[in-house]
Amino acid sequence: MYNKEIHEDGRLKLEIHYQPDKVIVIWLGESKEREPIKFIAPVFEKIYQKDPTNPIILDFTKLDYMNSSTVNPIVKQIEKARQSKRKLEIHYKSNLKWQELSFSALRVFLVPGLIEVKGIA
Amino acid sequence: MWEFIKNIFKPSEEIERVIQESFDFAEYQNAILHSWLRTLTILGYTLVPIFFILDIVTIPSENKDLLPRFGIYRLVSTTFIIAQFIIINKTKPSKYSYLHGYFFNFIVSLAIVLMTVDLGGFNSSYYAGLNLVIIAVNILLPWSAVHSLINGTFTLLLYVIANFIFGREYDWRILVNNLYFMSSTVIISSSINHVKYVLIQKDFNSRKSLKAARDALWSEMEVAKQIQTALTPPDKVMGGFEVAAVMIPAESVGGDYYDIIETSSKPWVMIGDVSGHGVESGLIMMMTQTSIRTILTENSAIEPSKLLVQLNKVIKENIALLKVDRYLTATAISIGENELTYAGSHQDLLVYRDKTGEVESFPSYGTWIGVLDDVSEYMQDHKLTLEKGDMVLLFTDGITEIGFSNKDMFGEERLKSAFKKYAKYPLKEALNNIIKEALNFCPQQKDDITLVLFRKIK
Repeated sequence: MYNKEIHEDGRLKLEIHYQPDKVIVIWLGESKEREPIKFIAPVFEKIYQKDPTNPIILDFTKLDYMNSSTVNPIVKQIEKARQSKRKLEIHYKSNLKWQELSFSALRVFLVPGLIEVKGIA
Repeated sequence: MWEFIKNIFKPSEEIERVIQESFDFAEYQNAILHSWLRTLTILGYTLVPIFFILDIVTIPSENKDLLPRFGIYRLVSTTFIIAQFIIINKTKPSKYSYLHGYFFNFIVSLAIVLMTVDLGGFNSSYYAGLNLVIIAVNILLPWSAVHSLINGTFTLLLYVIANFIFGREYDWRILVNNLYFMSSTVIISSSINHVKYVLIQKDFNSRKSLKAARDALWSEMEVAKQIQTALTPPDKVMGGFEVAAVMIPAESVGGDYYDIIETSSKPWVMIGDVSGHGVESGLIMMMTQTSIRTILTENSAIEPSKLLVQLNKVIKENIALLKVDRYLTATAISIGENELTYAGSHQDLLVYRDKTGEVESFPSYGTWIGVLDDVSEYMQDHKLTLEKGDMVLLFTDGITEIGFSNKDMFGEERLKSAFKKYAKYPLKEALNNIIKEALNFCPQQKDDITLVLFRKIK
């Protein structure tokens, strides 16, 4: 089973790749809305409905910018994955200063084997 | 020429202001009535003389001698209308503005009625001109249907009375026909006027609601700005350091925070940024400021990491009580004689070394405030040695992310270059120049900008 969905809100685009063994969410563009959770939360609800079990990879490596309000919906997804014992990985570009600052702080949510935060050079 | 014509039709700035800003319907209505009276009088002093061509073409040959008289009627009424146009332009809208509508109606109707009398009374087809006047005045002017009804009836009565008294023999069927059409015109124009008037009221109420909503939003932003800027400390000299700071809140207030605190044991400098925008971010920033000052009053010798752990407890609880999704990046710095001790995840610390003239970056470590119940595991103290003349620049992402919407941010490297360039300047001047350089790079400020700069002077 493989299919792809694209969700867009302003300059933020989420590409969802449903693969047999995982769901990859590729973040593209810029997230700068005041309440991005209004767009992001329903997208993730749909992911949970379509594929309730496979690991989720949140790939931010191609994201150009996100404001501080975007961190909240990401933290919500981490908490949800932790509660439902669903594997979740966060990939970010470690040589991008703003990504390093934003995502390295998410390491506080690390749960080995369950929640991973990986800086990719 | 076109500009000249546009300016003639354009209402004065005062009327425009009232139309845009008034919260009072009567005042608003007077303003648009006054403005539209200009249009009515312009129509009047244009069409009344032009219709003289109709007089020349249609007047029966046996009445050709009436043309000079008709010319005088038209000239006199046009003169009155021009005078009225000038008065309307020179005066402000008032509760008496509607009288201009009555006067205009009277002047033009009188001219036409006199022409009907001259042309044989009720048998003259010139009564049709009165229908035009009734329609023009009552449909164009934004007044209530009662005014339309009174005005139209007045025109009708003027026509009937003048022609009964001064008119000649007439065919009663023509009179009935004329009255039928004129009465219908009065009724129809009053009805249309009523519908239009209701629409004007609805439009006004919608604009009023929109304006109220907009004002509420602006006042919320003003409150947020007040919160953010009210507690900023003055520049000062503490221990062996001079410290200065600049904060420029963005339109939507981004929740930047900084503080310069002199305690009994050592000076402290704080910088942070609350996620999100608006009043909620401002409130959390205020709580942060109060909590930190309270903790330092109790124990000013505390380590920065422990200060942030305690701060996190308070802020996490309060964020939960406020039921908002917010967190805070913060770096706490205690200033010793020759070194800084710092903790907390925020932006890099930029250090200018006076000996080498170079700027170094020192990453901040830790995690955000308000996300986890206990952050003690992630907060560690780090040391940084300073010599006389060395400077430290703290900043929020408002300056490095300038220009992100143009795909090229000001960034930390440009900030470092600017810092190096102005390092020898007095602190405030250096800060202002750095900000000026960033805004020259891209003049659009999307987020709060905060810079804190300190220099070791002893």
